[in-house]
Amino acid sequence: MCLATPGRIVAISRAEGAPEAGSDLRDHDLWRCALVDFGGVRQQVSLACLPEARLGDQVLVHVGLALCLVAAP
Amino acid sequence: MSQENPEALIRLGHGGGGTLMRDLINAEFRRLYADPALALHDATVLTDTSGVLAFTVDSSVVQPLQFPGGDIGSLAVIGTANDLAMAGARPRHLSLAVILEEGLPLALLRRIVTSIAEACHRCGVCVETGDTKVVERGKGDGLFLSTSGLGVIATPRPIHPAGIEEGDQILISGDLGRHGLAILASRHGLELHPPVLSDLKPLWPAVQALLEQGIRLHCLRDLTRGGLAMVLQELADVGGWRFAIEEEAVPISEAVQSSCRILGLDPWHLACEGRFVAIVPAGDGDRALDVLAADGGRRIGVVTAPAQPGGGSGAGTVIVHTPLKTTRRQHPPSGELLPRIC
Amino acid sequence: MTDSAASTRFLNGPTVSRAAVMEVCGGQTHTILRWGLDQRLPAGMALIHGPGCPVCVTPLPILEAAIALARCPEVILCSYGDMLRVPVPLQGDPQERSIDLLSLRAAGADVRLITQPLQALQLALEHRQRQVVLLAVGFETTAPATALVAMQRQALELSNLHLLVAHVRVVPAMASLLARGESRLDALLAPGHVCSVIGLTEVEQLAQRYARPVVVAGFTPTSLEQALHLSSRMLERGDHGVRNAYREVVHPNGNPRAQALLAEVFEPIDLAWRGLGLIEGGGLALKGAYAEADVRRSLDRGATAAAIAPLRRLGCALETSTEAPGASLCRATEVLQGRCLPSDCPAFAGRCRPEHPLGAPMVSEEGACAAWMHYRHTR
Ligand code: SF4
Repeated sequence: MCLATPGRIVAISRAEGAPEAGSDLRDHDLWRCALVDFGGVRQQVSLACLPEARLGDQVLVHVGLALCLVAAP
Repeated sequence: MSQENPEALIRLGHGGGGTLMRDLINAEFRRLYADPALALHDATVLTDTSGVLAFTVDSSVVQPLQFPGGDIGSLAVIGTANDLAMAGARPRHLSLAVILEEGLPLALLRRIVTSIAEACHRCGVCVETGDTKVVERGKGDGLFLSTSGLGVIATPRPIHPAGIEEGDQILISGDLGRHGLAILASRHGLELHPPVLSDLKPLWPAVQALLEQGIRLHCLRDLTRGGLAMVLQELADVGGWRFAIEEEAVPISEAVQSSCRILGLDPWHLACEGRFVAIVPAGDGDRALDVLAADGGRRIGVVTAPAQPGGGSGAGTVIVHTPLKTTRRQHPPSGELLPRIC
Repeated sequence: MTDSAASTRFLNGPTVSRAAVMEVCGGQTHTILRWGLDQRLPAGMALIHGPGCPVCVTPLPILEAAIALARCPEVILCSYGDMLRVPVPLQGDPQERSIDLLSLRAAGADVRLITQPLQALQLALEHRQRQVVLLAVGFETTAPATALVAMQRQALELSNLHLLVAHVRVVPAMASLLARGESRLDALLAPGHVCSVIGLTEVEQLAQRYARPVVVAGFTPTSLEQALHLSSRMLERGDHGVRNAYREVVHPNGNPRAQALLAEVFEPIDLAWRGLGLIEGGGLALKGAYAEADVRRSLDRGATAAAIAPLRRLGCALETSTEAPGASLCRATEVLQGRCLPSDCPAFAGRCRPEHPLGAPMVSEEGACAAWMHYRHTR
């Protein structure tokens, strides 16, 4: 169940097609995206559930959503 | 013809047998023939057919038509030539049937024909005969190609899986899955960084190098659809053999590993278009490896024994030894490769 | 031979003295069988492969609705790859034949394979004249992504995007297995990625209530072996409670933001899992304003109204259907409960194979029967 892969955030942006940013901070989080590098493979993922994620962070990604930060083992 | 119009498209009339078609053939396809000036006839006469021949046919349907490291044209030519090489034959002659979909940009067709010409040159084959048809918009995927190939056997006897013997070594000519990955990545929106190119390449030069070293080739098989898992199972089935494969020895690039992890696919199931498995007698293994190692070739396993006492076909077994000192059976993929979420 | 040794170690039969540990999650089943971890278990341990494949447990009424919706010309049905191959019995077919979404696609239906739920949103934007249905499956790990789709849909007022939700909750299913006591379960491995979302509280309550050791496990062979050894030590000492063997990913509080998304969009419901029967709190349903996106509301009109009719059977106590085509043969219920091995099923590797599965566990590579077929079966 739940194939999830750790990768590193290489860029942060706002989702394509997102409506004009509202004043509401939560609304902003809903559309926050990152380009994540998985050992040479890059994919656009949503950061909606990880408002604390920053450039360079390792995140665990499942079906295009970053689920949590991955601590160094 | 419409060289001036960069937006020209294929029309149904291009397949109608009239002057439009004649012009298309003259402008686009004629350059593929050994003697482009020769008047085309209903059939071609081949004179260079001394020796034992290998004959194969292939159809190419791929989306996208152009992918990193190749396109449908180079894929068709090299794929057909490689099938001949796997029988121990030097590829010589090619037929080329083209099914175009109405609306295909002429510029794209021209790029693909150029790539066909280059691939023919790399493989040392000539297009001897061809055919062109056009289907209505929506009834073809842009472009389908069908090729057949003739080659001249260069080995003491044709290579066939029936040549596999107990104790033989199993070698692979390079890393797994880069062709399959290049295609999947474009289908599933994976950005590869740095880009991964298809492993598409002619295999005859490697086979020839093995023959020049006097390697006794008991069997060759290219790793196309179904990947390594399918090929090993099929070869094991022919003589009812048991293959023992060392998982760690199978070369897989980091990009292929990570993409497979993301899509939930097994790298052993991915197609290659420029890799093959060679099965050789134990005594020839080291020398064969010397030839293949330059391209990343590795020894991955051995033919241990008949799977069932007494042997027989259709009942081969592929046993994989994992780095954890455990074993598993490796099953071929069952059909379409579907990314998983679980 | 190594394989028969492995099976003996796995089997419950001659292992009465062995401790039975269930990995609940199908992804872990897959890793265990692919890497042969069952051949090097800690002494005295046997494994039971649990029901943790959301594809395998998706209730039939939902699959029937998906098939019926995909047959409607205005519908684009999208779902994940493993979902498209699940066989759905044709209602009232005397020959017990079945159909799946891939064969419907072959017959002309607009069925799309997606790898992320947000692609459904994209499709709805691109095809404003069509009705896009997202068949959303998965545990608490996948549900936040669906919740995000529901929220973005609302923000964008995308009324042509519809959700057919089959999300299930893992801890209630674990509780249900322990409560029945049909199979002897001495310890459980909890799925790490679910816990990365929900945290450890629910799992802790479960471990205390049933006095069992529960170890949160990752998905790599190394991580799983650590978890197995940890459970073995807990069993030896007679401990119970939760241990976290996947700390780099699982925080005790889980991901509060993801939990908030789930709470905003979904509410727990009782749901009959395919192969397991009714599980209290075992599913999720869209709630409040988000229920607007539920196919049961948004498509209850015109040609699609009939297509969603099977959904009325959902959550109904009688809907414990485990029936697969060839139902008389399929032993999925027992397999999913760890009461028999896939190879004990009379159809295994014969009538039932990955290329024509009779039951759900043969469909996804995570399914116990398919994983067994891929990595264990001798032909
Ligand atoms: S092998 Fe097939 S028929 Fe048997 S229990 Fe598994 S899924 Fe059902």
